[in-house]
Formats: sequence, C-alpha cells, structure tokens
Amino acid sequence: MPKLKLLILDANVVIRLHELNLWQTVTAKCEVYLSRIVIDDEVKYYHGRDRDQLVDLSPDVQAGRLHVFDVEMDDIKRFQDRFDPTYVERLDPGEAESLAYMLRSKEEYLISSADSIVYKVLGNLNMAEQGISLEEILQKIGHGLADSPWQYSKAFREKWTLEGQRDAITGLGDQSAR
Amino acid sequence: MALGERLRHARDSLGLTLSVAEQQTGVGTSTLSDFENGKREPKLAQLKALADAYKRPLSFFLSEEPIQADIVLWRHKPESPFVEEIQVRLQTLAEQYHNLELWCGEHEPCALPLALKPAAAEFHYRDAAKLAGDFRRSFGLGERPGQSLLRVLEEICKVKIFHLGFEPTGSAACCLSDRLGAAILLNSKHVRWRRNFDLAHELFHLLTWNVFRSNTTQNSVQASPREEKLATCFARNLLMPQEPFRDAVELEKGEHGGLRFAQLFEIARQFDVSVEAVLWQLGFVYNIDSKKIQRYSEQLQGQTSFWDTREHDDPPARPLRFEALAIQALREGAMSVGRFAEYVGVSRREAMQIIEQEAEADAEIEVAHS
Repeated sequence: MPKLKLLILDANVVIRLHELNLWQTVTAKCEVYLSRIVIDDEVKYYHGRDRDQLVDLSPDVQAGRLHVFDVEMDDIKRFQDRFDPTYVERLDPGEAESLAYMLRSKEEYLISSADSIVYKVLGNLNMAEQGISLEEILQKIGHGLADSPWQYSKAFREKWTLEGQRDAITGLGDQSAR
Repeated sequence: MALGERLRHARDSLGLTLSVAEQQTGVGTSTLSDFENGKREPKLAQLKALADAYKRPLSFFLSEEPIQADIVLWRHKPESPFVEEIQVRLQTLAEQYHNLELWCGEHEPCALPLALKPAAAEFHYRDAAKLAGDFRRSFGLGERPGQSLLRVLEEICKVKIFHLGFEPTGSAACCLSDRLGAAILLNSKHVRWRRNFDLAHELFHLLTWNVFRSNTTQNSVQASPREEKLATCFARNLLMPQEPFRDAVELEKGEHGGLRFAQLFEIARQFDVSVEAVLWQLGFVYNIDSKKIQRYSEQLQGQTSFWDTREHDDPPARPLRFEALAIQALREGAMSVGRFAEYVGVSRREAMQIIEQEAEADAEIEVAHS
C-alpha cells in the first residue's frame, strides 16, 4: 500500500492518534508533516488509560519519521492578507502556520484537523479537496475509527467545509478577490 | 506600527530588559535587538515564544494599526513590576471579550449613561450622591443594590468585569475606550463585600470618565484625592441608599437608640458591604462626628473575625457571559479549540473534551404557543 503523502496534522489529531495507540502506525504508513509550533507548543500530553501521558515527538523527528516545517513572517502576512484580520486570532498558531505553509507551497498537501475553523478556511479558499479527516486517513491505511467523537469524522469535515464555501459566496472570509 | 516597534513596545510595557527576555524566550539578546530594530524578522515559532513571554496575543504583533494606548485608572495601584503585568493582562482579557462578541455577532456598545456635567471643578458630593440615586433607579437595583450590581453591570450595561489576584497591594482598576468599551478589574483576593465597594467606586469613574479624563494622555493614571472622595461618596450612596439604610438601622436599633456590633454586622450583611462602610454611612446619614466614627472603626478591627460570619468566595477570573460566548464561538466554528483553551484558561486536552461532548447537531426545543 503506497504511503499517504504530504499529510499535515494539527495538534488535536496528533493527540488523538496517541490516545488510539495509532501514532506509530500513521507515521509508518504516511508522510507526516508537522508545524514547528505544533511540535514545540501545542502537543503536550494525551489522556492515557490510567493517567495523562506526556508526548515527546523528538524521537520521531530525529528518526526522520516526521518532517518539520516553519514559516517566515512574509508567509503569515500573505495568509493574513487573504482574510479578515481577525482570522489569525481565531486559529491556533500551529493551524495558522500549517495553513500559511500550504498556501505558499507548490505541492498539494492534505491537512487533517478536528477543528471546524480549519475546514471552514479550506472551504473559503476553494481548497476543499486538501482537507482530510482522521476517519478518512485511517480508512486509507486500512484502519477503522470506531467510537471516536464526530470531530474526527468525514461528516464533520464535509459540514464545515461547506460552511466555509457558503461564507465565500456571501463575501465573508477570503478577501483576495476584492 | 512595524513589527519591531511592537516587539519593543511589548517588552517595555512589562519593564523587561533584553537579558530577561532572552532568559524567558531562549532568543538571544542580539537576535532580539535585530528583531526590534527591523534588521531581521522572526519566524512565526519565534514570534509565538515572544508573544507568550510578553503576554500578548500573536495578532498584536501582526497588526499594522497604531497601538491603542488605553488609560487604566487604578484605585490603589499595585507596585512595579506587578502593575505592568496586570495591566497587560487586563487589556488582553478585554480584547478577548471584544473578539468573542464580534465572532458571535453579539457585540453591543457599552450601555452606561456617561455623565458630561457638571465640569470636574464643579462636581460636588451632592452631584455624586444624585448620580448614585439616578443610576440605582434607572437600572432597577432596588433597596439592596449590592446583591445585584455585578450582574446588572455585566448583563445590562455590558461592562466587562474581571477578577485577578494581585498581591501584595492593589485593589481595583477600570478603563473605557471606544473600541473595547468599559472594563473593571477587581482583586479576587479581597472579600466579596470589599469587592462590591470597589465595583461601585470604579463605576463612578466610568460614569464620569468624560468629566475627569478628557485631557489625560498618560497610559496609567491615578485619580486625584478629591475625585477619590467623590467616588467613595457615590459608592456609599449607591450601595446603601439613604431611605432603605435608615429603615434598616431603625429596625436594628436597641431600646437605648444605639447599635451593637452584632447589629452593625447584620446591616452590613443585608447591604453586602463591609462593616466599616456601614459605619461611615451611619456617620453621613445621622450626622455623627467623623472622629467618633473613626474611633468606632478602630474598635471594630478586633471584632470583625468574631462577628462577621461571612465566608470568602472565589470569583471566576472571567464573567459568565465571556465563557458562554467562548462556548458559542467554538460550537459555531468561529474559533479553534486551542484558542478556546487559551481564552477560558484550560488545557488543550480539557478543551478537546468539552467539544467532543457536543452533540452532532444542535437539538432544538420546540416551544408551543400558549
């Protein structure tokens, strides 16, 4: 089975994968990219069976199982200029970094999140096909996603992507066309 | 204002040297200096570390608008370096509250009836007392305003009221701006009845902002002793309106026409103020010599812990409406989970748990017409 390529994950998905004990499976079967801020600041711990467990991604980074990216101020300004200025404040810094990276890149990355606002942004920017839910990732690599909250489902991604597309039609969000 | 200038402004606001900033962020002093002088720009991850150390949102550094220098008026100002941190915290909280209102489409302007006259030099105690009476009647605070003042200010007047603990000194502060509206900061380490008085005191400053602050340009100011006395007069008259206060005193008076300590505490509980405040209002309403009142106040110091059975509460840092708006914004896809966590002061994992408990779709409750 070929690796799922160019997959950016946001902090919530990384945490959830640790809780499902599927983190190593995903990094083995997918080409995973994480923003510097997600690694340094946003993924701290997950709910273990008995207690909270710290997350340390440095072994994965050192072993090359993870690709790390960060963005320059020009990238973030370019991203910010596309939107109502309050959008950067609404997003996690890691999400802003990931979306700015996607916008500047020539490669077509996929981004997976459990945050409605990330999919709204993708819908708004006409990049709906670059969103992927955790449910869809696991299906592609031969796993199911039983008993997980719906924030990780395909239905959740589709709902909020559509909301973003509706906002674009009514003139909310993306200001690049104005 | 350019990014470098904003970085310097943020560091200066907290009174941090470059060395201290280096220790807190891991970014070297020469790199920090280059950033501030515009010779280099930070990567976003570095900017995030600086934003966290300077206690500012990232959006503050990405904005190109001029920095709004809001005046923060203190009742008893904490000492440096605490005061700088607290002021930045207050402004951040007010900014967050404002953002939540915008994101939820619930922004309403501040509904305080601001006084424009008399002019500062002609403002007397009778004007402060009248302002208190007018406010109490306009907003239906009733005969025991202390019981409802906080809720009315938050829900009806749209004043943003926060509680932070500051030690060893400092009591309350307020600010008023066109953009963020009115905000009051109370010290959560103080007992509720003292906070009530501070709240009423700060309300006076907000109501008379355009009378006493029209020419002030400093970032942080302290009101004159005269203005403070007017504020105290307003607070006493607001929280212990004369007629209901007199009725309560008459009911409690003993056969000899006096009040014992226990009865003073009873009245203080009714009006939810300190016993000392009751004493001074007694002096004002019954025209008792201030030296006598001072003597009674000194006698009381040793009695308070015995007679005053009220327990200290633990007020939330953020108003109920703030938290309700944050949950609404999260459910409507208007903010991220991480941002929600930061705004309400929980961990990311706790925030994830909150949103994961949400139903797939909002169920509607059918309300039948009667």
